[in-house]
Amino acid sequence: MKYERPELIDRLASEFVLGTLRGAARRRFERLVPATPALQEAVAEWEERLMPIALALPPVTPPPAVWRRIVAQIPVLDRPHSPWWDRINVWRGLAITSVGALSFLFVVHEEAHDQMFPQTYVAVLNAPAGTPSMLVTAKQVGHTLTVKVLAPIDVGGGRMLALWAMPNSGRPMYLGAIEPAGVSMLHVGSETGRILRGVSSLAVTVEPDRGQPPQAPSGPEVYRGPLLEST
Amino acid sequence: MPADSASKFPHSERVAWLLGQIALGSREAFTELYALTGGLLFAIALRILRDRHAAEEALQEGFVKVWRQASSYVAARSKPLTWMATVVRNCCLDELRRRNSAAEVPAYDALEAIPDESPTPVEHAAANADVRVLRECLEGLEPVQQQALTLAFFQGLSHSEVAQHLAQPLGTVKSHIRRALMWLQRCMQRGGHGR
Repeated sequence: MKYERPELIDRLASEFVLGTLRGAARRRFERLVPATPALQEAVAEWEERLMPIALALPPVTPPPAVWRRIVAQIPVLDRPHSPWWDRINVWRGLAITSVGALSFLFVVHEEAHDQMFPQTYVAVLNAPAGTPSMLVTAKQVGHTLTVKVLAPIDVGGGRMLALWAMPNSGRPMYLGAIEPAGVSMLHVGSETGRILRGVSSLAVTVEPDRGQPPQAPSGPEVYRGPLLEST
Repeated sequence: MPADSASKFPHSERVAWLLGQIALGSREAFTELYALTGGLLFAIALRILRDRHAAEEALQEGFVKVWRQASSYVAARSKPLTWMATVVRNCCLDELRRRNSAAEVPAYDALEAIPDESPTPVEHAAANADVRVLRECLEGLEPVQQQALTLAFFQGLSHSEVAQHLAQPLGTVKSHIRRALMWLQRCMQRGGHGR
């Protein structure tokens, strides 16, 4: 078959992406794609054209077990960083005398600790229509939650946005007030790893702004999303 | 946001950046990517496989592939969500072919898959220009062409399976699909607006 003809390339690419190109013709096409830029381009064009059919579907939150199974399949050591004790700097640091050596070792160790235990909490909170609206991240070892508003919200006067931890069992726990735009840093009383243990999702409600933390959610819930751990 | 992002899906730049970080081995970036796109890709897997358990497995397989192949994603060639949706859809179609199910296929309207833009914020509707164009172009198809196209796209049916399902001759179905694809190409190139 002659793959030089542009119309033929286009036809084959369209049916390859749609899925109707089958059997020997599909296998031959598949084999030729990696080595043929014109085929790659045509396939990419048809993917851009047809994939919006699928991307227009309203999102469905997968059960938490799926993420745990994905993480279990990803090797922990599959990282470009080497463990801190393998680093020449540590031993060089030890060789330097007294106080200087100690503080240097401390710095290297802190940095290495961060790379060895980079467990992070991540939650994307969605509006009911499925639009991702907020991104919440936190290091397990820190005391701060970072909330980034992806689509600015109009809450109106005298009201505030409250972020809640929704535990698997028990009552929602208030985490702090969120600015309706930009980035908010919420400082929490104890280690985030302890606060967020057993929390399956985060939610945001609109509360009357009384100048003190709400005890329990009373206003409408505007965003919600599952809380994921990176390891 | 840069002006050209108006035609892209929400957070396209963020997703592309995350894929770059994943290629460097960042598990944090991978977690955020899953949080951002897992729901959409799960919806795609559910639509194709119509079985929760199988869809969960396909999503899992797809994301492990995304982790392993993130470095092979070429930003210049395709949008990041298109690339990820292709990876997950291929996992689903492989599963369908494994099943080789001659089971009955429910009729499915492609337009049903596209939610109304009215309840979503303005920014979201603008970001989904791709969807608007596709919707207008799909509306320009004859119903039978639309049905044939959707059966092939979502159910992974071959020409002869589509023909069987629609109780139409193979040649007729082939030409329906061919014409539907050519129409979509022309219509989308000029930015929608139906016939």
